[in-house]
Formats: sequence, C-alpha cells, structure tokens
Amino acid sequence: MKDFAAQIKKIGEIGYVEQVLHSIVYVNGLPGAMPNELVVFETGERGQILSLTRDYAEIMVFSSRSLQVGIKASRTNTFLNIPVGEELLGQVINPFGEALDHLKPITTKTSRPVDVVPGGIVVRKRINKPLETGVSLVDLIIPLGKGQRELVIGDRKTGKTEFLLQAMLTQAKQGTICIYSAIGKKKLDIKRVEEFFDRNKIKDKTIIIASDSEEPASIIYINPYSAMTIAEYFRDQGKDVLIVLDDLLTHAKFYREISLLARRFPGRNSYPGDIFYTQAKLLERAGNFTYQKGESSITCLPVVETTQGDLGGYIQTNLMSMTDGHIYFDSDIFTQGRRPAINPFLSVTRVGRQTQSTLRREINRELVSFLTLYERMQRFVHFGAELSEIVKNTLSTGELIHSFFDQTADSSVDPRLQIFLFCVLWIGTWQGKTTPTMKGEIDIFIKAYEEKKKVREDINELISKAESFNKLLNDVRKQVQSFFDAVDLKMADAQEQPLQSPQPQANPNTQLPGKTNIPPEAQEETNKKEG
Amino acid sequence: MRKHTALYEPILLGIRSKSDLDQLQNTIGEILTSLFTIKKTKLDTILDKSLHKPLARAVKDAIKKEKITLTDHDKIKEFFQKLQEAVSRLPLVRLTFAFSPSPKILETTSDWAKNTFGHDAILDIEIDEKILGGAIVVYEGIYKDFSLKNRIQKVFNDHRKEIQPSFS
Repeated sequence: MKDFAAQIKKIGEIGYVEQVLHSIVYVNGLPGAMPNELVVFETGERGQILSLTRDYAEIMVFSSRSLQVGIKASRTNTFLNIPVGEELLGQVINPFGEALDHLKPITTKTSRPVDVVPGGIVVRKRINKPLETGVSLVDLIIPLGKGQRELVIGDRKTGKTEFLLQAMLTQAKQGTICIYSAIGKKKLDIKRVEEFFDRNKIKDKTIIIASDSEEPASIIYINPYSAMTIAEYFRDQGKDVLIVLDDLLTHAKFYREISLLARRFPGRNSYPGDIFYTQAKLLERAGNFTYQKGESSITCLPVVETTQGDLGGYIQTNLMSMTDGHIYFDSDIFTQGRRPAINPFLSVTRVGRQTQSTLRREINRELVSFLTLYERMQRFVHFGAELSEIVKNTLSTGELIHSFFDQTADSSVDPRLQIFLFCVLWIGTWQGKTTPTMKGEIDIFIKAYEEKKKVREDINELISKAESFNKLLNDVRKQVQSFFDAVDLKMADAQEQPLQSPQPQANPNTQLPGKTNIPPEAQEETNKKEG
Repeated sequence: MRKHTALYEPILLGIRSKSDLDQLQNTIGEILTSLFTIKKTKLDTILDKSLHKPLARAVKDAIKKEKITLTDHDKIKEFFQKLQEAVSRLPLVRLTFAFSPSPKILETTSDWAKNTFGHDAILDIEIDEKILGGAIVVYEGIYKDFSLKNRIQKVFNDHRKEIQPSFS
C-alpha cells in the first residue's frame, strides 16, 4: 500500500473529513470515488467507502484511533486486498494479513481482494467426500461432507469451540488447511486456540485470523471475509480447506453497530435490512468446487450463540437457512455431563449423508433408530413403572452408547476405529460392565490404534472389507477376542455375561427410526406405554 | 457560475476568505439557536461583534430590505436558513503557499480565482514551507500540485542518472 502522498500524486483527488462518528467518517471531495474503494488518510489510516452521496463519501475507517475533522483523504483506485500465500501458515494475523506478534513482517507474493462475488453454479460440484471430525457422535450420527456449511449452534460455554478444535485437529492431521477466524474474541481465547495448535503440532496447517473484542467494529466486521479470501487462495491451489467462523452473532452485532452509526434504517432487533445478504454473501463462498487444479473444497463451520437454548433468534434462524444443517449444543445435555453436549435429535445434516459409504449409512440408521427408542423409553422410566428385562437392557445399552460417545476435548478418534469400537459395543461385549471400565478399554484401544501398527492395520482391513453392517458385526464377533488379546485386554467379564442387548444384530430392513432392530417385545411394551 | 438570490448577493460577495465564511456560518448558527431570545439591539450586536464591518452591514441591509421585523421569528428563521444554504454552496478554493502572501499577492490570487472558478469563489489559504515555492490548488476535490518541490522531485526522478554523479 502506497502512502497518502504517493496516492494523491497518482490519483490527483483529495477529500477532507467533515464529520466523525466513531469508525464512520464523512469526507467531502473525492469526486471519482467508487463504492467499496479503499481510501488512505494523511495520518496513515485506511478506510473503505460504504456509500456515496452528492456531497459526501461515507467511509468506514479501519483504525482504533479517532480521526479529526479536517484531515485529508485520498482515493487509491483499489479495493481492499490482503496478502495471501503459504507464508501465512502457522501465523496469527489480523484481517489485513499482518502478523500479530510483530516479530517478522509476512511477505507474500500475491494478494487478493477481500470482497469477491461467490463462484457460480458452473464451478461448483456435488459434495462427495466425507469430512471426518474425529468426534464419534458427529461422524456416526451427524456426518459432514467436504464443502458443507454446517452451523454450530448452542448456548455459551457448551463446548462449541472444543468441538471445532477437535475437528480442526483431525482435519489438519489429514492435510486439510484449517483457518480459524476469531471474530471479536477475547485475547485469552485466541491465545488458547494458538496454544492448542502448537501443542498438537498442527501449526503448519493452520492460520488464525484474529480480531479481538477491543478492536474497532470495522476490523471485526471484515475478519470473516479476510479469512474466506485466504481459504479461497488455498482452494485455488487444489487444497481442501476447513474454515471456522467463531462467531457470526458477534459479526452481526458489529455490523449492526456500523449500520446504526451510518444512520441506516434499523429493522428487526435493530439489525439493518441487509444483514441476511451480508452473511449469506460470505457463506456462499464456501462449497465444493472444480477449478484448474481439480476438485477442492471450502468446508465452513460458522458458529452462532443462542440465549437459553432459543433456536428461534433472528440471526440464528437466518444462519440456519443459509447453511446445510446445524449441530446443536444443548446446555441440558452439558449439565448432564455428556461431552460433546450435542443433541443429535435437534441437529441436522443435509448433505453429509450423501458422502457416506453404505456401511456408514447403515450404522447411522441403526444408531439413530436406537437412540430414538432409547430416548422414548427413558421418558417412561419417570413413571416409575416396573420395567421388563428387555427395556432394562435397552436402557443400559443406551447408557453405554452415550458413554461411548463421551469424548474429551483433545481426543480425536479415527473414523475406522469409531466403527470398530461401535461394533464391539453393539455385539454386547461391554454389556454388564461399568461405564468407567468400558471407557478405560476404549481408551486402550484408541492408544493401541495410534501406536501399534498391527492393530491399526487389522482394524482398517476389517472395516474396509466389510460389505454390510450385518457382515461386519459377524466378523467383529468372530475376531473380537483376538483384538482384545492384541491390546492386552481381558474379555473374561464380558464373556461371562449373556448377550442380552436388544440389538445383537442389525436389521437389514431398517428404514424408520424407532422401528428397527428392536425386539417385538420391547416395541410392544413401548407402544403399550405410549398408548 | 452559480446563481444566488439577488438579496444575498452583496452578503456573499462580502465574504473574502475561509475565515470570513466560518465566522458567518457560526453567526448564523448562533442566531438560529437563540432565535426566540433575540431583540433588535442584540441582533445588531451579534452581527457587529462577529463579522467584519462591510459583511455585517450587508447582512443588516438585507434584513432591512426584506422589511423583516424582529418580532417575526418565522421570517428571521427563513432568512437565515436560506442564507446558510447559499453560503454552504459557495465554491471553496484551497491554496497552499510556501510563504505568507502579501496583500498584493492575495489580491492577484483572488482575482485569478474569481476569474477561473466564479465571482463568488472563496480562498482558503494554507502555508506549508515544505513545498518551497509555487502553490498547490484544490478545487472540488481535484488536487493540482504546482509546487517547486514537485517540480524538483520530477527533475530528480527523470534525470537521476545524470544528477547523481555530481553529488558523489
């Protein structure tokens, strides 16, 4: 960026600040100004033209310092550009591509405009590759695809960021470029994310675009657009990108602040009328694309906060309609101690299932139908009625499944291992065992999968060979003993227990949730109680 | 050339510089905000105190010509609002000199500005010694640098190779 003197000499147009309203200034002059054009002030600040009237150019200033009336401004004949390139990997930058640690300036060969028109239908491709998050609950029940826009929604402090970090960890390990856009976050939170990347040695695959809460509204507002521009650069290099926008409610609030300062007419909740357009324009830039370097995707995980679990807020519903589904973090589930606190019944994935293999789809169907039945049965427990053995078994299996899905924030489970462990559970291996015992054994399996090549190869082979869920269950049942031996675990307790789970085998005719693989007695009992 | 109401013409022509313009605008603002407390003597005092004599006289004459009584607040308000509007439309020519211009230079410059930009053009003169000589002219957002500094810089840029050895 050339300085003010050079620009004014080149363009030959000047303006004078006539009015200052926080980050919005009104400049008189600049006869050739264009909307969205970048402007430089004699004091070194930069700004972007928001709108033009006959007498004034309305400019959004990217500075926390307040400008004074009378300061000179010059046009630049350019739009807001940020440097992009491989050099950004591992850096924490501001929305202008400048390193926040100020240790060394980042020099890149290319730059790209921040505000671009999203790619049209010609360059888009059907989402066909699964995106593994390493979180068993999501990968098995709410699967995502590469190029999907999945909203992460929930109350504050329900574990949304932890889930996003897990997803980024898994993806970065698979070679995906992960971009974290921290929109108006606390400095400490940004630091924590950086430390997480550092600790897990994935810094070379990640970029953090940070604008903390004390920055001016204009800088916070452009943060996700800059992040998306960087994502588009890597997409055009033929790489898959995962971008996390944390969070878009803050983004909307800062856009509201700018709009109200610029005297735009306030609409619902005082948000401007174009708030939907502003955020849809951003999310529309994600997707699965085909460019010169082949197929590459930008998977976008925007975050939005809810208040008291209210999913019907203005921005929340706007974002739901812009995205291809949402993962709902339930505060009730969180207080029950389940992690991640995702409510699978209120979560939606619109394109994720189409990327799944037949086996995964079958498991998904089985799980959803079982969990529906389990939830229904749990409601009857409150009536205090005496429960039959089958219902008791269903409830205990349900509890085991919930425990199976419990995962700590820094653990990531390989999708093939997820399937294997689920099969081990589904055949009733852990029936009758306590939850801590099961969790302990699962942890041993996870560790063995990471460390023992033989175990990993055997599990991977078993999963890749499986043609259907039923077949896989049979194979697992035959080999489970050898796997337990391989990881130095005893199966004695489990073997002593009779296999009483209501779902020892998947029902191939499963179609509807709640009507599958459930023994007729259990179903009858449920119906009777419902009746 | 802008057309002003004949009534305001003497007032507008009485504005000689940016400071006159600012003073007049401030005075109008003051009058409009204290409209209902103004009495005849007070209005004259405000005008005499804040404006230079010919300009104050021009405003008083215009009020007299319009036959506005000071009790008619609506008419006073309308008069000053229209004057404010006419004043805000005056073309402003910003000139940057390297030195403080003498009255003679100022007169010559003023004549040039009135011939070039219109008879009602107002000069806003700034002093910046760094430009060494000549002037920088800004009119309606267009910036023209006729300074000596710019000329010298251009010569240096164009003939750097020839000039540089003579300094080493």
